Amino acid sequence: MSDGACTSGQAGEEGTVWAVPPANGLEWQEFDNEFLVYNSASGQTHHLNLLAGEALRCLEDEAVRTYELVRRLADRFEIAEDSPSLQTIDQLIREFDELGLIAPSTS
Amino acid sequence: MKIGDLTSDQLYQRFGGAGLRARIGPFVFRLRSSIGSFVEDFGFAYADFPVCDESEVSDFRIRLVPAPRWRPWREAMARFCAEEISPFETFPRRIALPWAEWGFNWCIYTYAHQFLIFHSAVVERGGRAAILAGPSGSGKSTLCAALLGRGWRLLSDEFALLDPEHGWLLPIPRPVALKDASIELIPTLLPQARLGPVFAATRKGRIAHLRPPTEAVERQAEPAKPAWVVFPTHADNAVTKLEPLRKAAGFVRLESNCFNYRELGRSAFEALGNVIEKASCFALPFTDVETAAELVDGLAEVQPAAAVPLDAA
Repeated sequence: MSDGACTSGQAGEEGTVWAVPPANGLEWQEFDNEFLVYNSASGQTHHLNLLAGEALRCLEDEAVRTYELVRRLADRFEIAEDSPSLQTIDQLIREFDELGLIAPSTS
Repeated sequence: MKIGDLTSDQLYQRFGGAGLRARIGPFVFRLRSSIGSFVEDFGFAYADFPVCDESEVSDFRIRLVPAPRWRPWREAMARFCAEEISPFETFPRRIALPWAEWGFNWCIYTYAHQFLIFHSAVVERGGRAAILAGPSGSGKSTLCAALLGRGWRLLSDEFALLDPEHGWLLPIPRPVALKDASIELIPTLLPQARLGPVFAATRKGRIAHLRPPTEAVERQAEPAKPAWVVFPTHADNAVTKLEPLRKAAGFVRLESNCFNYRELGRSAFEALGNVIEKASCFALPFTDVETAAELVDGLAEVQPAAAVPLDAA
């Protein structure tokens, strides 16, 4: 799908603009700050914690680069951009990509 | 007319002729067989189910037929056929009823995609249902029988059939399949139980079928709203307790017990979410089934039934 173009540590990752492909047609359910997301394209349902759910919602709303996503999540949760939980965003992006939830934006 | 109202000759004639049409939950089964022991066993286990007239279209057309015996010293064998499909290998005729039950299950989870289908027993009290979900061997049938002994209505021993549009659970109160040590527990758990013959050496050990309570069959057109989702897990050394589950965890566990989640896709996701939103979810590790039943029983007392008609929700 993404041909590994966005694997952590590879050149160009910082500049990659990530988005939820429109074909995914995500459906959401939220229970007590946990999310269940249905991906119409894959037929799979994913169980996300609060941080992962908010990150994916940001990417669904708008295509952004990783550093922009970190900034938005920092604003959303009112925490510092270098806080420990936001240092996992690179890995989160990679997992979303592997699951087919997001892809590099071409638009 | 009920199946039990037919004389033995009439029962054999129906099975041997155009077929016995029986309404079992939301389905009409048409059954044909020339295997006498199966006809007798089925006639006992399904005695309270209504016979349909010839004009009703059958959902599943089933035949249990004698299979060739290639070696004369082998016991007599049979085959299960749905339409022209035989989903299983042949099996000994003496255990035709358990195999027919597995065949009925196969028909339902293979074809009945108008429902979201969970591997689950379902019981009801006061219009609200408890889904007892889990794989084979989790103890749900034994727990189900114990709850019948406490006045709960049987909706199903094997499947929760969820109408995705309305959120109702539809009854399919087929016989409760009890295995191994559970069989001996039944006289204590459910003194009024009517147990059929014990079938030895099936692929799931010893099996006996509990004939569904007459009231459960007579009310098989009355659906119920899911109020509790319980995941029983029997283990010899478990501490028996009812543990509240986070709703998201309940969603994931119930999805893992769903036969046709992928087939129904988005509507399954929405329907399952609606169940979880309104129901309370619990894990129930247990050793002693009577204690486990008492805990589930307590749920209905803690949360008294709302006096709201089903169609107003």
